[in-house]
Amino acid sequence: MAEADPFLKRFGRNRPAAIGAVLLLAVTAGGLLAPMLSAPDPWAMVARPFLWPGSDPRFPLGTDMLGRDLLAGILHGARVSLLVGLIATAAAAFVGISIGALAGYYGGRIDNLLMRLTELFQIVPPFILAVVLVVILEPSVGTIILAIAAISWPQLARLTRAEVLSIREREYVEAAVSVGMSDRRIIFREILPNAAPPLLVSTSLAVATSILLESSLSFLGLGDPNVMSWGTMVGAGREVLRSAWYVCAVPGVAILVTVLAINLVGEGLNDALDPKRRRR
Amino acid sequence: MTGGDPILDIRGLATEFHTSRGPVRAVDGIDLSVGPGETVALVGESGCGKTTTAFSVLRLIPRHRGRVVAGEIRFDRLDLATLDERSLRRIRGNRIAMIFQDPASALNPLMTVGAQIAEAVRLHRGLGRAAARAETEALLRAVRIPEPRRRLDEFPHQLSGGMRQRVMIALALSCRPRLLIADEPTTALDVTVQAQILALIEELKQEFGMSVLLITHDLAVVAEVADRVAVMYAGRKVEEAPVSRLFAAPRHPYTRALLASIPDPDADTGGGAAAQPLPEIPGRVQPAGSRIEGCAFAERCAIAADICRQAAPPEALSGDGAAVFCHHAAPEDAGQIAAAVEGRL
Repeated sequence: MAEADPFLKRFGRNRPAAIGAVLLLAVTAGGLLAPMLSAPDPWAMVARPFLWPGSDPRFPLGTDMLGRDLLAGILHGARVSLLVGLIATAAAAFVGISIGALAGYYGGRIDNLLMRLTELFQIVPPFILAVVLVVILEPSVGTIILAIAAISWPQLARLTRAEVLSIREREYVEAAVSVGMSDRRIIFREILPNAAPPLLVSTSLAVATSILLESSLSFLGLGDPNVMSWGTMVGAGREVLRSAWYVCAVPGVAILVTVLAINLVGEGLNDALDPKRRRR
Repeated sequence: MTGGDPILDIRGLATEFHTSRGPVRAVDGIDLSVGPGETVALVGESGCGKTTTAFSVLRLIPRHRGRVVAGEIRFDRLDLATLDERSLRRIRGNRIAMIFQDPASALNPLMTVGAQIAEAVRLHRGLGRAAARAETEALLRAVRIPEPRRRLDEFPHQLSGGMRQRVMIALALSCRPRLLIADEPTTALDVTVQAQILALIEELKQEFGMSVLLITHDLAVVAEVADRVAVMYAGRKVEEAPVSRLFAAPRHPYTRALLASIPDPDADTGGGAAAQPLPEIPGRVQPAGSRIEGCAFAERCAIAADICRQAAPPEALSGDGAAVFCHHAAPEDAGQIAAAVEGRL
């Protein structure tokens, strides 16, 4: 705990990172409290269609072409976006970090095998791969998470491998070998904690990418048909873009704000964890 | 000299590194033994293979970098050169422990020193959390760290260099090893701290009944703590002798040249003008990997003859375990002859 204090201080002193953290907390709170803050069902037609934002105080963000409350859509959509972003990234991080750590630590044939496998995923344009996976597996929240994780892990695997390759050569790892520690202990106790800063930053940025991917898939009509998502809203609104542009813009801004907030937090983590700044 | 069978007995050890230009032999047929309770120093200049020898004993050279290609490393009736990884892991830290050159980088920066030592204690002795903590505190006290209980919860960067090396030693001692390999343990420390650490190692050697294999390039350190010295040059052992003998009557031209290059604090008290420049050894060590037919030192040796470039010098043994590899080794008892040759160096 002794380390946490100066870390939080450095993080807090970084104005953009603090703003990002506040925005992210707001989005999370909105998602968690969605049923309380707005209609319990975002699909319900609750008012006259094409109600512009601000014209009716009961629907501050207006309604879409079917008379659905946009605020309810945004709040419920936050749940999906954050859920997909977090779970897909967690899965990608688990697979990527495991594979990267094994490849980097053992080297040789294992490294070769695992890295060729990683490249197999990287030679296909990632978004196309995600589209194909979702189409084959039928769109649902589960398959979308799977598809996003499947295209996100290779990058984390490569980064982890590079970090492990360099940390493995440090003297304290040699010292750990010389006191008879097992490989597993060395990887988990000595190497990965010391590789954590760049991995943490990358992983946090991967959450933002996952949210964008989910929105893109939903925009293309490959979202879960039973779940309201920001991408679905933008996709539905594009047909009325010229007459009622706010139907696209409102969920678009939600995506923008969330992704920006996560990026700011990620950058803040990067600065706060940078050992060169830490030394001061 | 201490009697009894050697604890560690290295025979014909050769270690190669993989490079882009093929294998490079860093250690080329070394014999070395360490007896019970003995301190053996392995000396030589940078790159002569002394650290590689030490790392080979515990097979610490990563597989992708290099490997032991020949020879035996006898320890406790086992051959460490061919032992399987699992059995080797039981020996590492348990029977043989190692301390490293730079204590700043040999400790995990993210763990408290107490946690690092306790981890080794629990690993090898199967103690519980509380017992391991108590044992760790005792170890820190054993290496004369003041306020050991408070130090337990400090991180390596909060300690001074000398303190870190004491922590490394405590870590090495955690399982009461029979052999301690010290790889230039004082190089990264300043002179007063060096003396303290050397004294500590010497005391602990008695206390814990260990043998010590000391890797160093510092002849002053050797004179202070070693019982026996092996001098290495370009991956080979050139001379081995009890420490007093080596300093009094070095037989190999390289050893003589090394000893001659130690500054003598009494020699130039008379004022700057009279001060003699220190003699140096002309030339450079052959780049690692170059095939050497004869004596590795021939190119830089003042008394080298044709035979030195053609044939590897034979081992000339004498009593009490001394050996020299040189076609023109100075006679054993010849302080005067050695001095005469020194004139020519």
